[in-house]
Amino acid sequence: MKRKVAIVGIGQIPFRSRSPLSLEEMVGESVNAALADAGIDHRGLDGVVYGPAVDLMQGFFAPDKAVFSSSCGSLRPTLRNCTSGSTGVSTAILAYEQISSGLSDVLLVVCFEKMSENHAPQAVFNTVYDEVFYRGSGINVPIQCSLEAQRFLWRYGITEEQMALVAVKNKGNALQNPYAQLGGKITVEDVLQSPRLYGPLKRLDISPTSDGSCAIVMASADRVRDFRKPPVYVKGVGRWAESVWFTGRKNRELAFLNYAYAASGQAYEMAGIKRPSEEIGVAEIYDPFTFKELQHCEAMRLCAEGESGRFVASGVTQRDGRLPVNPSGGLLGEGNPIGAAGLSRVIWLTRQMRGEAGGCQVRDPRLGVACAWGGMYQYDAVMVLGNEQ
Amino acid sequence: MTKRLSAKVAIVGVGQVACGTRPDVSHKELLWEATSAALQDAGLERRDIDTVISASNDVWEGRALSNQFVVDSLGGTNRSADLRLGENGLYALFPAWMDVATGIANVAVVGAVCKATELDEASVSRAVSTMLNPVIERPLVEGLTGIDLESALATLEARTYLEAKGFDWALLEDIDRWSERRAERNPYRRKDRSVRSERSRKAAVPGLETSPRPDAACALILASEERSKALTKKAAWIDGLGWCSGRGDLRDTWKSTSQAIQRAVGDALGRAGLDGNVSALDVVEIGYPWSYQVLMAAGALGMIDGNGPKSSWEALLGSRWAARCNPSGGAQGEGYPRGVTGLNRVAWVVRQLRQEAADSQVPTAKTGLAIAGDPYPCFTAGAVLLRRSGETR
Repeated sequence: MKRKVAIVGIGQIPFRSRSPLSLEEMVGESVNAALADAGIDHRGLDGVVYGPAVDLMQGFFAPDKAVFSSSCGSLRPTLRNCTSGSTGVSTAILAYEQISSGLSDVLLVVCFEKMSENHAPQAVFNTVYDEVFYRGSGINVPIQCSLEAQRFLWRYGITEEQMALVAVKNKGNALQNPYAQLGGKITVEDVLQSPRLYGPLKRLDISPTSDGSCAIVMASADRVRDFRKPPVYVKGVGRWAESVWFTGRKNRELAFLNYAYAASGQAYEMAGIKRPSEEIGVAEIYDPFTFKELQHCEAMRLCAEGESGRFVASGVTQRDGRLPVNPSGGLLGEGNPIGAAGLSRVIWLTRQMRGEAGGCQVRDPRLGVACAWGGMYQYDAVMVLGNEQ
Repeated sequence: MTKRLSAKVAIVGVGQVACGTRPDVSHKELLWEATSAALQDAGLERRDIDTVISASNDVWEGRALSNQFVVDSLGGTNRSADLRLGENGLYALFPAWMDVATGIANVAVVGAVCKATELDEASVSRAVSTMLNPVIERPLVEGLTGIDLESALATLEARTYLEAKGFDWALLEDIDRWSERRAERNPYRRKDRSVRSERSRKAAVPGLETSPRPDAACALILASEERSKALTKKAAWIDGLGWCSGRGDLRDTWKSTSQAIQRAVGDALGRAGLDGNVSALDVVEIGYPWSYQVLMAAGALGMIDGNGPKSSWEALLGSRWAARCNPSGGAQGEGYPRGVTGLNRVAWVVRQLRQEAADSQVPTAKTGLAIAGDPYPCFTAGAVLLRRSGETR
């Protein structure tokens, strides 16, 4: 059995480099906003699915359990999902499955991260790697991504200027996003002249660390009349994993994200989408680094392989372009509280479908795609949303 | 009334690595062993896998994102994968059921691993302290040395439970001996008695016995009805699922613990069409490590006869449940690899339904329940109800 599922409530708090709220308060505010948006209280929930991404990041072992009291989790069926950076989307997919399979009718999804509690997030990420082969080298996320970025630029002839255009676009878009941490009017020159941290990645190519929390209410299609706002339907979902040994992957190519292609393929097949670049009206792409938006524009099949540099430079992905990408500002502009960042992509798509995206609104999107990248930098989660069942 | 499950999904393979000290292998290799055994049991190969679901605990494994590091061991490379963190392995079985029920996968691998022998007691206590509220609770235990914090928290819960229900501490020693006797027939139990004795000696309160923390891994193979029929006649059908969390703090823990168990088992029974009828079960495997938790779970399920002192644990259980409760010794007798206890219990129920439990076999086992979760500071309860192949639903 497979039931249709919709998003019927959304809530988030502004992303900040250091929130004055405690973890419980952050989560509580986003949950209250989502329940109010849905027009229900905690009694209307069958369960909660949590998505904090990295335990050690916020100083809690099992941080989902630390926020039960402010998120309707006590004495309810709860699950905790974690796929690192992709947590926000993969947690929504887990809730989708719980409802679609008939186990529940109405679920709350809560994703959060309070990174300011940690003075050295990249030291935490170093412990992700194998202790015999990799860890001693001091490798972490930006170092691995600099390897990927160098290979990506070299293989496809993409330029650092084209990477910089992503930062200019997303930080500019974030000026219209009331939840954004780092919106700004910058130029390509600003990006290119910002400090080179992990070549070719410069400071303005990299998203900030953030505190943030997001929540959504999901329900089976036969219950959508019980809620205040019009439903936005989940049309397709996809998840895919490659080997955690990044030097030993099947395709032996760091530049080409075969797992992200596979995940989007699953989601589009479920949604009945044959030509994504023509049928998708808006995309919210996980962009912790500028080149990650370029890679994912290709993997989400919004442009051809190797064409993302020219795709962005053509203006197509601008908010008023033919296929807007990250009109919310993405992670580069809105911020990157790891667990919450992916769910924020889903929330912004929902706002776009409802016509509630304010200054970030694009013209009449019928279908949208949200994706998030994570795992051990080998995992992608994709969700396609639409206004109609 | 809880709705019946919407799809027929079976467990077609089990693989378990015995509880023990395994300095010869990493936690990745432990899970590889368990997965290989489960695939062999099912008559499948790694290329047959559609999806994998892992479960592990970061602080126990000494790394961040430990759940992702085992994807290769489970056969999840270039597959759709789903990853649990900080949850009991039993909680990985729920999304695996969802994957198969919704048609995302025909064959799903579920696995959990623990390499606890690489942790010393002080590290465990520090890990447990990071689960406590940093403002109200954590300062109370900061700086404490020479005490096993997990046992100390268990003592608080055990004391309030025993006092509320009128049981004696001596009953806990009786349960511990009973579990150990039953586990003598279990080839997967932790056999290192000196470790057990040492741990018992360190218990915060005499009589509050727990199983020692070992290395272990367990993997299960789930399959759709169509795939199950083509594979084997040994399928154990998943008839009911349920789970529930307690409160996220230390207030009234035993009350919320009992409520969580009742909700989880109630949902599993309801989804199997056995509303509230625990007595319809032929075998129950309890995956909680402390003697008082075995008592508390049995009490919440209505398996013991009332409150107050009784001459022995077997007398409390009565003849029916004394034979059918924890024939493997449960997690207390077998060992307490945090996170793996739930899948280990499911593996034993599957063996019972297949009539492959050897000296632990309950002769008439047609339906069985596995219940497990993780303790402290928030107790969780997950329940899976299984039915023998060929029995009507």
